[in-house]
Amino acid sequence: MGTQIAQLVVNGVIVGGIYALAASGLTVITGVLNLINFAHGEFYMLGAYFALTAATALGFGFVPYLLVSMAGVALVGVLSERFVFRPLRFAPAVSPLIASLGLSIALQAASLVIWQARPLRLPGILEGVVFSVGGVSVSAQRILVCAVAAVLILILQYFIKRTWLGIGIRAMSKDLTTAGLVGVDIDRVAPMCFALAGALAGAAGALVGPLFVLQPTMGALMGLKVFVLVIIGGAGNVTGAIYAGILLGVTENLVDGLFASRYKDIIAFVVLLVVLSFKRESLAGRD
Amino acid sequence: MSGAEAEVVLTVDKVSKFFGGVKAVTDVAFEVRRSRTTGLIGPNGSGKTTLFNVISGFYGPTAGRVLLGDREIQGLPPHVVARLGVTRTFQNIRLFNNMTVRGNVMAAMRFGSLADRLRDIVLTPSARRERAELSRKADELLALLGLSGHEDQPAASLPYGMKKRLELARAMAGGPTVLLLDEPVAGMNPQETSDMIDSIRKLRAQGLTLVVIEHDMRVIMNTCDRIVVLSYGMKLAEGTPDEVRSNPSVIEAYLGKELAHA
Amino acid sequence: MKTPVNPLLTLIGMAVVVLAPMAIESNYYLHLLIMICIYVTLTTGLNLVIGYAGQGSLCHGALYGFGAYASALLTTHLGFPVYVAFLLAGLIAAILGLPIALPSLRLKGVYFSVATLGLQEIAFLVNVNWISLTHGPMGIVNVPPLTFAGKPLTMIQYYWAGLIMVALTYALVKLIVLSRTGRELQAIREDETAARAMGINTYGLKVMAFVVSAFIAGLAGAFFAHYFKFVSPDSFRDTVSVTLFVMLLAGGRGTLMGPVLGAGLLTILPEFLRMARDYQLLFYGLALIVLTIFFPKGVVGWWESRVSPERGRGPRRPDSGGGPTVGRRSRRKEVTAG
Repeated sequence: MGTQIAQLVVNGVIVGGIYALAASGLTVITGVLNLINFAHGEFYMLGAYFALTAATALGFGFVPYLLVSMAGVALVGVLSERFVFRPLRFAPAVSPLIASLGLSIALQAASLVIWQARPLRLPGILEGVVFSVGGVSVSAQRILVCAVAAVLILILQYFIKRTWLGIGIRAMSKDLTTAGLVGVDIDRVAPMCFALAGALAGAAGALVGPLFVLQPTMGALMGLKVFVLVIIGGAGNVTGAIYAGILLGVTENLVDGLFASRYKDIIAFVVLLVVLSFKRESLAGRD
Repeated sequence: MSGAEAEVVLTVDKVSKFFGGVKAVTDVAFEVRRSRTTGLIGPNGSGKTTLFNVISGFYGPTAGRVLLGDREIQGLPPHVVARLGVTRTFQNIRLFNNMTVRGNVMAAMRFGSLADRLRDIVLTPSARRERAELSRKADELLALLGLSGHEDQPAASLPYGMKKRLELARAMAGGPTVLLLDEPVAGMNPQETSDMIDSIRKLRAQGLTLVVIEHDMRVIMNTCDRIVVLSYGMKLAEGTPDEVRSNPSVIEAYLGKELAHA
Repeated sequence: MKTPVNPLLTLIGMAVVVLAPMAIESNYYLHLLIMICIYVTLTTGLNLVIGYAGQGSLCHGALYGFGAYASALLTTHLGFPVYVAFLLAGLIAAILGLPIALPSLRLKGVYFSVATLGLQEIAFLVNVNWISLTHGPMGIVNVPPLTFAGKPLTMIQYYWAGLIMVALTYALVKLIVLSRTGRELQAIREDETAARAMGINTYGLKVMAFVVSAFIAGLAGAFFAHYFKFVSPDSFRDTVSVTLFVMLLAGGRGTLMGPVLGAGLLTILPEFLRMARDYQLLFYGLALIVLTIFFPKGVVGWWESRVSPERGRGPRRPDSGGGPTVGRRSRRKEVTAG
């Protein structure tokens, strides 16, 4: 029993690492630009598909296809900011949400057209190697996924704390007007945020590619869950997103494994509703 | 004051409102008597609008009570407070812009019961009569406040001064006992201010109890029976206009020039 | 509305709508018309929540599904007569809508939309997994058809039944919108804080609007069930909620004809353009983006802003009731207490 739980937890941490990676990019967008981007799951999905194309059509190895994937989705992110979100900068808050829903649908459909619904798989690079410690086994592939995710997250943390862009981002999340007065140019920072978020989401997709079968709809549920994580962890709070991601991954896995439950995907949404209900007092019109 | 003291209609009983570390209002207490007009003055940031928000139910107080007659109303939601008889206007006008002038006033008129609401949806003959009656009453109110002839215009198209008076009319529509006016003449030129003072006087003549936040001392001195002075969230002084005007700590706090001109 | 409509034209128009399809031979086109009826009903109901109460609900696909499954189960498993089940389905959807509405309508704007989306997802997942009740992805089969004089309806009769459903729904929504209650809803949309200060129970009204729209969605769902004679989770998922949203947005929320135009247009257009399924989805997605950016008021709103400039509007109806006075919705900024 203990081994079973340990195994579930370990698997959960790995899945959680992916959630955390995708969520940390989204939380930057939501926290800094105050945008809800429902297409984030599709950034993740595109990451997987870009990696697939790079690996199969161009014969790239792991690191190159990872980088191609990150760059590709970063570009998609920048284009999204420019053509979908920027025009709605002064529209009521619901508009970017709806537009991002449209973007999400459009990206899913585009992928369906380009890559068809054929189940495809990214070749892993450490196929077949499995480590076992005390009855708990993890494939090398999964360890690699976790490791790379961790590295990317650390780079993100460093980036936000140290570089001028990162500081600008933090300033904007505190007070948009003051940041503007002090010289932070939102027209440059916004696309950067999206590029960042896109790169991280793309990386998450490229990393899970070898683990699961690719489908254009793989981003849909992911996008919603990641959004929940952003709310739980606090918009703009990268550390919060990380903890929330890992927590969700572990919880889902435990529920799935221990209760043979088909309902594990519901967890994220139930948690969402619980968290939202606690946000009540600041939102019910009594400021 | 002549004759017997009128009953107390609104009581602010040691109300405090803190936002985290910010003490917007601390221990403010005063009484408002029926049909009297009470001015609430003080520098910007002294907690006047916050106090209005507490009285009208938009904030729950951190401490203290608000009483309407004998009844405690602090913490009740705004729409309940309004139905109990306390309505307000807003510092920055909050009209229903895409509605007509008359529509703004009628929107504030209440139903007797759920059954009345359902009858209105289904448009029974009694509902039709009720609508016509309300429309007539709305027009009367608009006439009282000098807005005749504009009933069918979109509220957004009115000039500034009229918009403020429309807010007044709307706040009156439900037949309130107490009316809270938040800076009724802010941003007005002398003519508009004069019109507004007239309107306020008409409301007083109808027996309405008013509490007025204002910076314009002319308005305060011309309409108020009593004045409450706030500073940094606390009550600094209270009394008749003359008493307040000659109160040294009030003068010291900030009045000075304005009072000399009132 | 704005300009008085020629009654004769209306009568002719209605006659065309009712009688012309009798000439249609192809079941395909009749099917399209029936689908339009269903979508118009759904969108009109949704309009109460989004267009009039101003709350962006993304869970109406689920409410539609509640009605469909309720009617399907009542007739197949409990043997209820079809028309009784039909009505009950609407009520059940409304009743199920209440625990959805009550907590989520306490949330402001965007958070409400997110909460409804979360509920939509949960509803779908429960639908797929609660096999003992819903038969999961297999769905419920052999749902009895609507009947008239003892016989199942023909296609044209289903169309007429659909028209009746549309007419009743439209009438209900119109009554509400033009009433004093409708005016209160408009007040909420214009400035919720001021509405509350004037004694309007904004929360209560929003819940009422939601529950009524849930009832309507439930009826549409029941119609679906007895028309297709089969229900499955896929017809009531998040993409359906978004589709309804697009239809409303395209037609013009907050107007009475908006849903009709939007639903009609967006049901026909993809068929017209003969798109493959995948391209249809792409079309919807892009349409949503373009609409949100360039036509937030939808077709009807855009038309109104072209026909009557801001000030000099045509003769307006006297203010006996409430009603949509001006087609334009003001750009609301975040509401803060004064």
